[in-house]
Amino acid sequence: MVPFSFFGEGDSLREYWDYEYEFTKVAEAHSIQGSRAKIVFEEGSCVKVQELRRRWYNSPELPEDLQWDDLGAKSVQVMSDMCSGFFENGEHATILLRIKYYYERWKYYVDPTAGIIMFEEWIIPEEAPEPVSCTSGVKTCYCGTVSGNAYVVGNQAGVSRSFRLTGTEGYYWSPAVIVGFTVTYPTGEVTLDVQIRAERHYAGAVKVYVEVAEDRSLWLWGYDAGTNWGTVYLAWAPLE
Amino acid sequence: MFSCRRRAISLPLVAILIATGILTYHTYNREVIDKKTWLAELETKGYSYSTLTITIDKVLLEGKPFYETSKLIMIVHNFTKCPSVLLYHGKFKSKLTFKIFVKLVKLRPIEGGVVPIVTPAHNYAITIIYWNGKELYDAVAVVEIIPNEPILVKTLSFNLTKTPKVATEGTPSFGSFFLLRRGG
Repeated sequence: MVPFSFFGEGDSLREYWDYEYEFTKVAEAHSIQGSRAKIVFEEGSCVKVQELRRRWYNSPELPEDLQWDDLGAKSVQVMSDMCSGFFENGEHATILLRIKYYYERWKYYVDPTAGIIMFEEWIIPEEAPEPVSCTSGVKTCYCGTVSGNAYVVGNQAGVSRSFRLTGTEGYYWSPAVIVGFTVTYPTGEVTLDVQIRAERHYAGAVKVYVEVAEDRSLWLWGYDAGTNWGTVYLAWAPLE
Repeated sequence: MFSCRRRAISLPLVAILIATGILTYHTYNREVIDKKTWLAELETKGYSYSTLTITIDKVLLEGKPFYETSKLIMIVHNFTKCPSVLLYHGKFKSKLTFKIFVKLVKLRPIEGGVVPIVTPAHNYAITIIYWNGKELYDAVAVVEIIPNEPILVKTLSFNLTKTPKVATEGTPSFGSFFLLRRGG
């Protein structure tokens, strides 16, 4: 085992850090006529949100138009059981989690003789400790013919089924949120508006709870249309 | 006479070798616990520890093989909880080993066993920096790991690219400026 020796004083310095909470789009959901649904996050489940970084050297001043680099999605843990309200009868809902985002700026002394200092900034989504929120509206549902993986929910009012969301790695909402930080540099105060994307990829128990709202002769189906359960579609169809 | 002296020297040597062997065996056994024991500990105590080993098998400089790893600076941050913890700043290491705290949320039953749902997912960022006397290069890799196994292994490759440089007049200064931070 290689023991971690702590850094020598003066080699690295965290110059500044801050955090902000922002409601971040992490899922979208539809119901169809005669059904209702909600999104359930269990404690310990994860949504994936982009981690960003940028760096430069030769001056503490932030270079103009320096872009953030995408480091991929970081797991953001849901800290308690949470669920959205029900959306029903064709209602569309955008599910938002209040995520805590950190900004950190580091300074590394690379070559003291040559006076080389590197600066590095990070945006890190950390956790979702707050209750979920959702905005609702009307949007065309592309639900249609049952395809891909599919399970039947039922055809009698009150019958329900949960579908576990998994999703596809690398498939992002763009953007999921814009987080604003007011950051103090040695050269002055700067407002950073950082666009952050969320991945449609979930870990642990992120579920769609679907319930039949009225008795029908057809059966309510939940299916993924080949999205690897990134999306749960609903349709009324005969029992095969 | 000569042979007696040889035996006198070799006995302590043998004893040291045996002691070292026993110690190595116990250390190895303590660290490499099997999954069953690990799961049982997780279930009874509600927490356990996993071992994460990160191996760096390749370093490239703008796509070409780079062998002067002794000239690299390595920085390791733990972003699992923020503000982050700086774990390491120093010379390049091709192998890093961490002991990870694992807290059990629940055991989810699956066909033929259980899957531990643990918290938190661990997130580490490894930055390497290379200064060739004229230009600065850097590379970064993020390792995210859900510690649901006792032994976790990750292999990384780095490609050093030029660090953006700010054109300034005069020489940059090492003069310190105010430490600004929110919170403690």
